[in-house]
Amino acid sequence: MSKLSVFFRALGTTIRVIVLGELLFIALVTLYSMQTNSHIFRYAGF
Amino acid sequence: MMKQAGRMGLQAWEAFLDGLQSRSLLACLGMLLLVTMQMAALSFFVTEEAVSGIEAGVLMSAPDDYDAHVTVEALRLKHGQSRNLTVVCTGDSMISEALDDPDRIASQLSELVGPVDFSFLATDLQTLWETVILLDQLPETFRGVVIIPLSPLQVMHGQQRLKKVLASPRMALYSETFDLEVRKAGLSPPPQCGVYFIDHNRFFVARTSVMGKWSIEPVALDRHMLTRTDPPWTEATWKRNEAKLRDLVHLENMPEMFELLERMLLRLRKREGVQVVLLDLPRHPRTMAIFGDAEQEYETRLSQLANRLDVPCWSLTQDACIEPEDFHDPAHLGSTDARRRFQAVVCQRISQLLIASEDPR
Repeated sequence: MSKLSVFFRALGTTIRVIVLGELLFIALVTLYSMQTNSHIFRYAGF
Repeated sequence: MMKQAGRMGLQAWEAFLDGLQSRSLLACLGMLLLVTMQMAALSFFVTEEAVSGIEAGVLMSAPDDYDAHVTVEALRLKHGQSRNLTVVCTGDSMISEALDDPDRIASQLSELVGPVDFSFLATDLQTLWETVILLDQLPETFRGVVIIPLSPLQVMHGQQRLKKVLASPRMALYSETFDLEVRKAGLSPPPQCGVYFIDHNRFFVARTSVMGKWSIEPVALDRHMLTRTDPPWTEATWKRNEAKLRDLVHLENMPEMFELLERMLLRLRKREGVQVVLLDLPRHPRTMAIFGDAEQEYETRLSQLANRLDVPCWSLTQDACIEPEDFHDPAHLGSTDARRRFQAVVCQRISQLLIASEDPR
């Protein structure tokens, strides 16, 4: 495998790690938010 | 030459796609590492000091996200270096809607008595427990006036309400005094590990939508959102909701809440250079009539407490010429003129208090 291919393969893996890592982070935060019923208080009036 | 470049490009593209798609334990570990690093970075960088330094609008999810605004304001008080006299006002939506423009109070007071800072720490439906949390943020160096606006509703919250405060904390603030009050009520304070972001994770998790907004303009606060969005009460609304209003009366909670208020006042009185004022908020005469005994009990207990502790208690409804027509609903002023009158009277009283104090600087 040429150096160029190695570089582009690593680039692909890095992008995947960043994108999926972010998605995993958001998913975990959303799940935690749902599980703990975290919400912003809104006054509902009378 | 062209053919070779094309072949290399194709190879590079295939390698890139392979990197994106192929199964890789390293990539999975990398993802987990990234998530862990983000958590660690948030725990490291999101501190009380960092939050106190940001513009409140950056953290707010909407114009009526008062809890985020008050969190930043309270932390700014705690970590700020201001040497000016400061006027702090807590309270709920009743005081927010009763003042025309709290952001102008500092300049209005400064014109009358010299440099004065004003911190408005009112949030919708603020309980006295949350007031305890907020007032616990005042630094040792704090000098000035603390205004605690009150109404019968605020002194009728029971332990059920405290359980809700514990189950859904609204502000990202530490308070040892609140923990003591919770223990006094026979409940357990929230567990803490000492890392600000982790201890208040639910406050931040609830505002994950804000993360995407950090690059655009901060949210502008709307203090009168309630009266702007809810229709004003008509005769029909009054009739329809009279029973609901009666359901808000819980006389049995009043003794406990007044004890809590007394402890709060005693703590504040111990501090040098701090003057406390109880502000009896304007109320619709019809609401007062519906509350009946609770209203009487509230007024008696409030004046007894103020006299016993020698704390000024301002009832400014008459001074500000507040009429029933000025109300939007049972509890909130809706008329701009009435708000201006009320704010003017409040400013006048505060300035008199500051001038009367022996050494206002």
